[in-house]
Amino acid sequence: MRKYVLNLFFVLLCPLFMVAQIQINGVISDETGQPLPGATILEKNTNNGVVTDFDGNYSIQISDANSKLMISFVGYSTQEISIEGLSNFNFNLEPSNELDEVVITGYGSQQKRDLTGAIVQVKSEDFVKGANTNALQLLNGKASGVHISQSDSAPGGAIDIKIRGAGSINASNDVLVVIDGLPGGSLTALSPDDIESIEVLKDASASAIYGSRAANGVVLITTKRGKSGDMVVSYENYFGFQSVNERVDMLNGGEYLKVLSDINVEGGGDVLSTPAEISAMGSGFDWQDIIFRSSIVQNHQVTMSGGSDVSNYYVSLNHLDNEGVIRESGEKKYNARINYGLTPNDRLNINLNLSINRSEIDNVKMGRGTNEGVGLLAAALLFDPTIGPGVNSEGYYDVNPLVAIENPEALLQGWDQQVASNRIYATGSIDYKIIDGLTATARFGTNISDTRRDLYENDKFQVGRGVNGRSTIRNSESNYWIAEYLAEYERDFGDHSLKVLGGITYESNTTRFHQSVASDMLSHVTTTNLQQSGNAETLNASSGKFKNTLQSSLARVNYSYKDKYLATASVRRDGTSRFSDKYKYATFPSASVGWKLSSEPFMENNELFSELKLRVGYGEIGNQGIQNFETITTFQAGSNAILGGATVSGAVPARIANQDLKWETTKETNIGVDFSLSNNRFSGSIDYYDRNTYDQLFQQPVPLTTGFGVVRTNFGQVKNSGVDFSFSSRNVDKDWTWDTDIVMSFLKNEVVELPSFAGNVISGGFGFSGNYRITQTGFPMLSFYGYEQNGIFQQGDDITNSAQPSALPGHPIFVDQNGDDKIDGADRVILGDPFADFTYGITNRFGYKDFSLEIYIQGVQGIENFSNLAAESLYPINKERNHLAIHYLDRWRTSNTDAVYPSGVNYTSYSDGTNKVNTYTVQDASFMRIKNITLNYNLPLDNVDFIKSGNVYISGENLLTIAPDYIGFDPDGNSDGTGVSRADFANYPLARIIRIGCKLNF
Amino acid sequence: MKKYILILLGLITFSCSDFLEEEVFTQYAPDAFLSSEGGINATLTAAYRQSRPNYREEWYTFGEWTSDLMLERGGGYAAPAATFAEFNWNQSNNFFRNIWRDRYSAIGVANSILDNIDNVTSLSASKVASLKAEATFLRAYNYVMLYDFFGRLPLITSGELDLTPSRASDADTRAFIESELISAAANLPIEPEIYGKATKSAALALLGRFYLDTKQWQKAADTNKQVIDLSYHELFPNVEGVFSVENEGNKEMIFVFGSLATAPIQALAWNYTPHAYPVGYQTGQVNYGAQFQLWRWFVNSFHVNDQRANEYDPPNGKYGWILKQYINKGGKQINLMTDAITAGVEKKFPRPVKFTPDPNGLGPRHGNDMPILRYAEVLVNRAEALNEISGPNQESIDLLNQVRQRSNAPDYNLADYSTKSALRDQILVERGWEFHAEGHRRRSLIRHGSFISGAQGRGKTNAKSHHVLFPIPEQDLDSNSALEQNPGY
Repeated sequence: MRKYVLNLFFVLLCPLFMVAQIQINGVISDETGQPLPGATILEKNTNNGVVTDFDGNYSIQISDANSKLMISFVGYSTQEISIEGLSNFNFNLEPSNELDEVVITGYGSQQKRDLTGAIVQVKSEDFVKGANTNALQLLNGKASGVHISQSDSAPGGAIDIKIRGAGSINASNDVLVVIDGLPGGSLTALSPDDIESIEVLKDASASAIYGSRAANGVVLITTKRGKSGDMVVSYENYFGFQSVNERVDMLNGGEYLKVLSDINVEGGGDVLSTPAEISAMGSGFDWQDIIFRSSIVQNHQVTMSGGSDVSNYYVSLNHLDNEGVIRESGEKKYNARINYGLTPNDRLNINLNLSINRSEIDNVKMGRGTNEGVGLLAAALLFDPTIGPGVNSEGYYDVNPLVAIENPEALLQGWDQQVASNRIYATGSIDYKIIDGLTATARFGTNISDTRRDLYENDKFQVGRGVNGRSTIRNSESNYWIAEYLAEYERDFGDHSLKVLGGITYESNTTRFHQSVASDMLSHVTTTNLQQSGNAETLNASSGKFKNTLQSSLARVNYSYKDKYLATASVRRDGTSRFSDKYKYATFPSASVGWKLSSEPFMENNELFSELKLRVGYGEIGNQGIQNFETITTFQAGSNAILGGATVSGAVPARIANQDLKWETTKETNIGVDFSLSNNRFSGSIDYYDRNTYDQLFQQPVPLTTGFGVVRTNFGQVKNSGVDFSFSSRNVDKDWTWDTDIVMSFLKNEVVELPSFAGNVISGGFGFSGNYRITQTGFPMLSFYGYEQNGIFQQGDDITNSAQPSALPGHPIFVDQNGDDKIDGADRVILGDPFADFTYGITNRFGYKDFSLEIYIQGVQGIENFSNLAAESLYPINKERNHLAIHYLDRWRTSNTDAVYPSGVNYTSYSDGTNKVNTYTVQDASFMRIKNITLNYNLPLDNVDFIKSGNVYISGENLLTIAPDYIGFDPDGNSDGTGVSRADFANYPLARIIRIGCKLNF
Repeated sequence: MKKYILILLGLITFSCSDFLEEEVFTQYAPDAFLSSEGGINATLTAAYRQSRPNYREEWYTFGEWTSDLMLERGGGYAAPAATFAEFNWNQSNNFFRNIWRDRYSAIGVANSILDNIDNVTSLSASKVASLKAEATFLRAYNYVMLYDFFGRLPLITSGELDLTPSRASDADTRAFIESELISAAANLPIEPEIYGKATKSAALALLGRFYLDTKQWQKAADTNKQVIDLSYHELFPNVEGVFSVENEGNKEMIFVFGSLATAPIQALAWNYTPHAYPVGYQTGQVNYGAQFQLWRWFVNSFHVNDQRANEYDPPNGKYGWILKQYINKGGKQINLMTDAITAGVEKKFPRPVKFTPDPNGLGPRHGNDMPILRYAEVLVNRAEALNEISGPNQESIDLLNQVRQRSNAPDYNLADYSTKSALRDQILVERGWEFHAEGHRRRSLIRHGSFISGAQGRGKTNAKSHHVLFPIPEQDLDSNSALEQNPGY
């Protein structure tokens, strides 16, 4: 460590060069000749810059008569001018087109027109509008090749992002998020209002600079900085009124009694409820209505920003308060940010970013638990609808003992969890210009977070009552730091333009946790605040500490010739603590080229294309997404036993270690074209990619006789290929305007090679449903695997000689795929896959005077999920659990023989384990959603002194979802979390939100 | 310029070799750990833990639902239980995988003790011998259980990684188990060092049971006699209290896995009771949807004086083995012996509660130890073996009567049993009365040749002769080409 501090010291001690100064003055105007106040004039390759005054005047001292000036202004093309000895220089700026925009590329930036890799940029004005609490929501459907889904809509819930599919069967498929150069940031600990732009490095040629963590793509987030000029104070807020717009149609109280009784009778049993009892019940209790509520989400942000020629600042305070649409759930967030830049002289540039975040999340019990461990929403769906929310004479919430599902009200009142997190992000960087064109940068960053989770289970529900109260506290902390030393050299040689970057980085991540649990509490009043009042014998503490490190060297060269032929090459060498000495290091190279056809002489007379560029890139990237210690043999504490009437600590071998484990490598080729037509009226890009992931970090199943189930090995190949398409058009440009942006992504995921020892990997298990996924050569990873159902046995069918001889009329017919006259595991087929065939986002913007209207539609087509809700409904663990109405009101009966759904009589004979995975339960989750409609009005504030500008808007979010073949709350939700696999079971529902908001600049 | 390039190169080529060393803070390096006394003891503790049966799968799913005395209705467990009751299982059933995995994992832990204990220098030779004997006993116990379920086995006897072990022959598997238990018995103490640890009688009683199940009658008779001759064990006089928490450590128990209601994890507590309590049972305690019940004919089959059929009715001061009636939460009297059974909702059968519910239980967690081997079985095992050797004999009758007298059931008379098979049949009946709900039933029925015929007699038409063994689980067939499936699967 000391060594590189010393090196840095050397760099800082470099002598300053003193040079003569030349003064230049002038006026900067727009294309019509109106002066532009606030335009920036910068001496190229320096930090020497000034800003025009109210009349567009500027005056700048430069050091070299051959310097170039860079003139920029928001919304206008940045121009580079040789002053050639002039001392007075006036200039008209042209409005920009999007190709002039600067795109962050990771360890640097480039103009969009010079990109050679597949990088998508989404600027703040194009973000998905809405009550967004996670930065990824801003991108949803806006970036081609990027599939974002709201897997969990609970306050503070997780968002899933997949860039160009998923390549890893067993290792991590998580993308790398880099916030202001700091890898591994939290996307929820950031105010969306503070974000300037988000770049997605899609292909390996662009992302290889992040080497071993880039396999699943890289998302770069850049926060706002102050601009030169007077201080701007702005305040923005919104209030959103949210509610659950979907209900899952379960049987109501009367239907429930009737269905249960009828099925019992149809099966030769007794009448369980008389018609009088059924009609007396009426509709019973709608448990969804009882746990849902209308609630408010509100957001407030105050920002102060400004700057001068030596410094700039951006300071913001943000508060979000999101009351969940399920009672007793919610989230409060507080963010403070200071981004500060200082340029004390023309060689030194210092940037500091500091962000402090606190979040407080109030959870309700969710998740995939079953029976007594059931989550709240699943309980609301499956609970007996004839029982209401009140307490009985003993003071307890009633349950139906036949169903082993807790009363939802009891779960609301008895289970209380709070998660409070504090985070600090800080980055500081020093750029020092050693000589013209050569800049050295040292950058340090840290990401420190602590999270405390408090769970108290009291006597209002059965589990808490059973243990007489249980208090669980878990503290975890994470301490990450990074040190980067970079040098960049940039120079033009005639027609040649060269930029070279080199650097080294060190990263370290340490996490620790401590958990304590006590039960049999003296009183429930003290909740988690007095664990010592629990029964001492039940006190249980655990703790842990984990660390991993990464050390890298990186280099990149950008070269262009005559501004027509572009080339980029990069290489990164990464070393990780997670692999053994044999394979600690790996090298990840990439190269890409671009050709601006539109700059060629033969295209000069072309009227169609204003811009046309071809790009080809290739890169190799890695994945180290495995656990710590997988290459070393250890013993771990655990497996305690009761000996001599007390708990005694045990220890067991932790794993079969594999010293030969190495990186999973993804090799990707990308071919793209960027175009702009009819004088930039239409623009877009199309990319084709072919992405192969080799040496999978595969969990090889081993014989259980080894004492273990799996060992991690490198084997197998997965291919993702597809086309990303984006297109923008200005349809109307008169006194009213109409713009359309379309992005579309087509993806094919295919397992190319599996280890022969593994065969097909069948996995998964949800609730009481057996394995529902398969990873099989020639098909997408984690496809849904089960029985194809084809019709229902009718009376008179020759059931005895069918493949299901013990079936009854009304039972489902499964297809005997292999014709062996029996239905067993060998008859399973692939019923769908968790990858969308294509996804799309369509934005239409209309403007008229001070009004603008934006309509955003998003869709996902050709995606399936396994519905555990359907499985619970059709094949209940207890038939007294409630059911989906459609399954039972349209069930097969002798009087309803053309029904879609089976009879429910003696259903256990066709509902064992993996049988539950079939055509009924693997459902098409394609959808199209009106994600957002926003009507904005720019306030006419010309006559108001103290407000410079302002706007008000009304916005509707998640207004309509069309998902014809889907049953459940949200086809986009995923109860399997943020991995590749998709399942659906009582997810926290997506809210429909109507927001009103404003923004005022003072 | 050159100077800066040199500095730059210095920066880039710098590397720090220690920086990427993987640091482990929460786990142990195996060599050092296993050559310490503490490490060996902790690993041995883990071997006990991992040998503890998953009672619901081994005792009830495998042992009782496939048999004639008990039934299960309701809960998430109804479908898997029905699979076994109906003889519908196949090799992909997760229960087989789980038991195979858990037992081989326990064997692996025992192997790591046996592989390394000779490296521990701080222990006396006799201590090493007794620790080895404990590990050997636990390893053998796991093999006995696996052999009972799956037949001949891959014999894994060291920690060396073997990805293609094949199944030993039946004779070799038996010989291995036999020699292991003999060697363990030789070095285990009569009095356990700590309650819950293996003893000489545990090894002998397990071997005696193994001989009986493998129909090595003379060896079975002799080995059970060895346990009797140790004169260390005796029947607990009050049959109602044999399994209660307050009588833990009584001399009838030869080997148990200890439980604690306050144990931090549920797996170390006895959570059977919520399965036995009927729905709506007014206890203020947790009640599971999956209901474990006894057939009424079985409860009615006890002799009227037999205290093993005593009622469990705490409000009326009764703490017998069977719950027959109660007042439910709605204040309604429920009689599990006589109330009408609603077809489709068959939950009104009597409940086996011989593991007397723990008054200090915490929710589902009760403190009752898990009985694995008890003296009553040793007596019945010897009685059965002697009958198989020479037909009805007074010693067999006396041994059975010892057990019956304890529960006030009338004595058997030798004169009433003229043939070997008559006494054999009566011994099977007696086993039901004494050992119901302890997971013995499948093994007893198989030995008596009535496991499959009995199932067919109950209308389980799927039951075929090959079902006396369970299938080798799919994962191991898939990942180990050297493994053969049992015939019939």
